Amino acid sequence: MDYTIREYAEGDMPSLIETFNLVFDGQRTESEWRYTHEQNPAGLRLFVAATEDGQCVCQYSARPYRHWMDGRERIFAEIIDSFVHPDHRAGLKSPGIFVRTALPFFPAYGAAEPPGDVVHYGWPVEKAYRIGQLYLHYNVYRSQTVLARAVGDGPTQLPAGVRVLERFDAEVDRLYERLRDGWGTSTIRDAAFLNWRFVDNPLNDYTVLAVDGADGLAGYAVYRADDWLTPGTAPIADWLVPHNEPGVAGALLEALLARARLDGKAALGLFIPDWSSWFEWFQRQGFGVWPTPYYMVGRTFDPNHSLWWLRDHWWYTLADSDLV
Amino acid sequence: MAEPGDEQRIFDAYAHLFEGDVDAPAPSPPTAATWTWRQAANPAGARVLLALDADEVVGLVCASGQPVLVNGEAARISRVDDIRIAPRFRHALGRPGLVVRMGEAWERAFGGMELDLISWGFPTPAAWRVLNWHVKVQAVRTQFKLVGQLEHLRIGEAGGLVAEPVERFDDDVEPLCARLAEGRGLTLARDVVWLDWRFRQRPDQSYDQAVVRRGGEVVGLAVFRTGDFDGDRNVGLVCDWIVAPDDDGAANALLAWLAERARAAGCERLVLLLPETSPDWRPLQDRHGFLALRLAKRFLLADRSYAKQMRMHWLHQSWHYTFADTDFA
Repeated sequence: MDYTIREYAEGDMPSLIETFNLVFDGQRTESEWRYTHEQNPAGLRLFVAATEDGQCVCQYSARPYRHWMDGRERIFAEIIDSFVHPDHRAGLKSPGIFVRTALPFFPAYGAAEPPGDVVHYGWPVEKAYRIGQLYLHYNVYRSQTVLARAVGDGPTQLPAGVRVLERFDAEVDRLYERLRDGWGTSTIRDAAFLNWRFVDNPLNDYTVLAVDGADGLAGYAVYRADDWLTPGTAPIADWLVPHNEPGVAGALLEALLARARLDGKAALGLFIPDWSSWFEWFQRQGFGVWPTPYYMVGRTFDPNHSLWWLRDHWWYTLADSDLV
Repeated sequence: MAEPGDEQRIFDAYAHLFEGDVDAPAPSPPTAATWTWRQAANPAGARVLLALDADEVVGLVCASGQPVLVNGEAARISRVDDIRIAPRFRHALGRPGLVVRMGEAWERAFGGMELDLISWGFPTPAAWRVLNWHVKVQAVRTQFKLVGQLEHLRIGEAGGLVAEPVERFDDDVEPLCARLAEGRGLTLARDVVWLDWRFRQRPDQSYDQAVVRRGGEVVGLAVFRTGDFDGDRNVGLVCDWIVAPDDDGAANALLAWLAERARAAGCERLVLLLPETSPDWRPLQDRHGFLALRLAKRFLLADRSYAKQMRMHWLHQSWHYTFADTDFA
């Protein structure tokens, strides 16, 4: 069968949603699709394979994020929601339409300099990883672990000094700017990104817990009251606290635990890079390091920032993923 | 493959093959005693591959054979300790040259279902780039160390059990090793021959060994030595740790002995190497106060698989190992 492989075009959406819902047995709506791909403040990354009659049978796509690296903005893009219609799949041994759709994606969007994406990354399932390793130069950044702890007995009310934040504003921009140069690279956690990622997200509901200081927002954590990885484990989707603010961190952790108890959750879990001092801090608060089925994989297009460098300098949390 | 009589030129080769490696200092050439121990005396066999240019050694792969159980069945794997190419035979990524030919020769000599199921190691970044790209080496995990500060260790009641130092392990440890290997997809086949070779016969290190018995039956063993690891000086290395994850009494007895040995040697912490997927990980972390910290100087645990089952994800989930499997301790 002949396919046209090209960048996404107006008019592809209905067919892509139809195939998506078939592949993932889902109910993705137009507004959810528009949220993921069109309303992302960092843009859209999507290639399709279409049949002669215009049916979109394959998608290779990513969610770009504006990053701060070396004192300037760059783009990292997370590979998500890539799929092939079951009637158009090939075996692992020969590059089928999935690989053929993905191959032009990387040179189209990946580049060492803006506006190209410096890094393409993701947490693929095993089969997708094997295809990516064979044909798409996927490389492993790390075997992904999760920090998790039981919530235990305790209060269900938010502790003093912690409030629920309804919407991010310029205060979070200032908080992030205070912290960004302490990391080699990180997604720019400004109000535009965070409201898109957590507040205006039609796919999931999140609760933002915040602590104020003398100069405004002193730290926040994002909680989601759904199960993740194991039944009863609620994810902490983001964590932004200055390292020299243990009081803020302690209050936010107490608030997260209280919220999880209120929701009847048994445990909390989060991603924290293992080079960060927070990795040890959470362990000292009773979190353990546990395996996950995931490898964090990707490609880098900037020879000055190898996967080894990224492994040791990239601040990321579940906010940088579509896993929660 | 190396042959008897190649030893001296292999030792000489260490001096020039490691030039220009920015990731790791050149290791000291092995002594004749350690070379003999690692290769000729290894119960799982020698693994050395040389590339020669006339009579000059221009490529070297040194490994140690390891007896393992794969889902309870006896098999072999090999741990690659040193892999080097002479600077003039190193090429840019686009022209791999000798490293590919050595990878192919290695697979012919040692890799396969009836030979080594995998060859594995902890490559430096420079080695990883070449091996991953050209020799199909895959990442298994980013390795953590489990660190227990002696002052924070939680060691409970041992229920009257005591760790007994032993000069050498007797065959009464084998039932415990066999029992704990059950249900672990890939693990070292520990018997007294291998344990004796690994810890008692090693010429350049000395180890303290202990067992815990309950009613005469061995229910735990541990091996200890002090040393430097991952940038930390004089830490207590738990070189082997064999105890049922649910046997708190035996674990407490072994930890009490390990902590006592560490204090006596002036160490401030105990360090273990385990996969976070191991059943042993959780009790050490939850009950005994060990923290998982990233390795500063050792990078990915990586392997080249020669058997279909040895997929990266399977190895990640199913491979149990300790310091005993490595040459770090």
